Amino acid sequence: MQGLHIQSVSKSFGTTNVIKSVDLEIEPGEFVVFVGPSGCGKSTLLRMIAGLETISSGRIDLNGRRIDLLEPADRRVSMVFQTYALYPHMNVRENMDFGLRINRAPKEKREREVKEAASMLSLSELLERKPGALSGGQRQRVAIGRSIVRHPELFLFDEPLSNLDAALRGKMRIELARLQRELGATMIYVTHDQVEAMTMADRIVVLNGGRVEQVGAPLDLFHRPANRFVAGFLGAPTMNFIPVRIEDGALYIDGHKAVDVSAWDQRQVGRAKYIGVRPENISIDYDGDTGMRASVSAVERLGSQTHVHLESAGGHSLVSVSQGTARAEPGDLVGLQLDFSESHLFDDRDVAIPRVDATP
Amino acid sequence: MRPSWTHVPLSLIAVAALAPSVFMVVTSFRNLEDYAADKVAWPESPGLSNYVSALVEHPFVKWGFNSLLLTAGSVLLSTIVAVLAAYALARMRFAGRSVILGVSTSLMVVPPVTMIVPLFVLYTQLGLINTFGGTILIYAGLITPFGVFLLTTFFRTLPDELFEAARLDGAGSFRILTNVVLPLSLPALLSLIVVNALYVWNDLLIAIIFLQDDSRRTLMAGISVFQGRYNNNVPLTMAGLTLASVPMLILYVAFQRYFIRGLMAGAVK
Repeated sequence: MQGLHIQSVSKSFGTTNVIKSVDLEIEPGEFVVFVGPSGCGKSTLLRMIAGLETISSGRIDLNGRRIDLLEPADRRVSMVFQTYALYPHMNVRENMDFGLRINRAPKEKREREVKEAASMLSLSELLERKPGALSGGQRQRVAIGRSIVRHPELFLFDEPLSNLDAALRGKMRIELARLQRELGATMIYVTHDQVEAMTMADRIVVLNGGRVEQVGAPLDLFHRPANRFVAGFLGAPTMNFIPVRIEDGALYIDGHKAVDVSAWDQRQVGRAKYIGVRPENISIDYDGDTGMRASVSAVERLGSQTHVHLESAGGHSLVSVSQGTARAEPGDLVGLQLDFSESHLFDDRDVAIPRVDATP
Repeated sequence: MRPSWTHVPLSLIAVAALAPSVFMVVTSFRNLEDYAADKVAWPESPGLSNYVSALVEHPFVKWGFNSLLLTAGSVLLSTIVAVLAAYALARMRFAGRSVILGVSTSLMVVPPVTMIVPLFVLYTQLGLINTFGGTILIYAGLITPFGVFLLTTFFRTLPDELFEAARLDGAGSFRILTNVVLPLSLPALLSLIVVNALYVWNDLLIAIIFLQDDSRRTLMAGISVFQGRYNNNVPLTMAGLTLASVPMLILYVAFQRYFIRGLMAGAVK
């Protein structure tokens, strides 16, 4: 059995369950991103795979070996920390080959490995420098290099880019994705940044409250969220949720008929409690008085986009995103057009009601 | 720039702090007659006769060697014990950890004087009076609690990720201690060594009670008997004290460059 297999893994600190029976299979060569809000257990789960936290129950297998009982060093995994965790008294070369030296690797092998990793990461000129003399991005590359020279079967990344500034983060994102392709390595990457998750992952694992909410390819999750949490977590600004009533095959918002419900599974659609509409699927009609009525409460102009915050006549707070610079001003009374072809219905337990029509 | 008047009290304090040392060095170059005539004065004909006398006529070198042995032995023993204890207390989880640290720390407030009589009785029974080994044990026992306290506090400030990274690299606890913790703790460790060495080197109480044999006297004990035996020859005593200060001065100057901040720069963030 190749790849990583996590079976019914739980973790509790005293009476608090931080990881609740997680099952997960990761294929060799896959780039998987754990994403979720602070405290959702994503880092804890990663640390349990690394062996830095014990597991309370369940088992973890890597390429056919059970690893959850092994010492961290024996698991053939490596980890890159958010804070880099470089040894400040060692230079770049010593930092990178520390693990090899401990394992008494011959000198030629150590030199070869460090040289290869350094050239892959553009660190060749910096090998004699101490971490204190490096920039944040260079330090992060040294931390990655330290992982590479050990040839682990699994790379773990714990929010590795969150200490970098936005421009460097974007650059490192692309570099990491390239590195993963070059090495063909299996990687698990923890982040709370949905842009990193959406752009880098083969598959995303959305975690919430120690539970896996949904696993899937980035666009699958975006277009077919399994529940309200996933729908709200992916996409920025976050999805709008509006209470609805279903009557005679039609969906009513604030007492007005909005759309017929033939697009959803007819056996379940009667349970619908909320409709989720992404901000980009709400367009504003400044002159017309068609559709939903709303007043503009705030406007954020980002240059390429405008976020318009609205208060509907029914008292719901909504956000609309339009391209370019919108002419909205706070206090304007406007009409709203909702594009229901990209919308999602959720029942009273926040579970998505499947659509039966084809969505992208 | 601060206004210059703040320098006045600071200068006064500096003078007050340095005056005894200046007096010691100046007086050591004067002869006994001059000193008897005027206690505080610059030497009229400065000479090294007191130094020659201390080094040649008195067993000064022998005493210095004894002091060195005691200081090195007890500081070495104490540092090894304190490093191992502090590493366990700061970085390992076990039952009774905080109790041990609490007890060890509370030992710092016990005045050595209160332990002299019971220790003396015990050492007499064990035959450890007048032995360097026995005295080293006492000194090491006295200075270790401070070492454990200081190093535990310091080790706790080292970032957890460094330990985790080292574990993932395959380092065991002892390897992490020697290859990661100790190099990063050099400033704390060297401060501790200097402070403890000063204490042992300058101690009179224990040296005079537990090492009574003339051949085992330490510098401080030896200098103190100068006065009684040689009619209170102050310039000679000052020459002895000046000589006794030199090793500690060297130790301090040698380690001073390690007392720099920023050794942790670049570890995290």
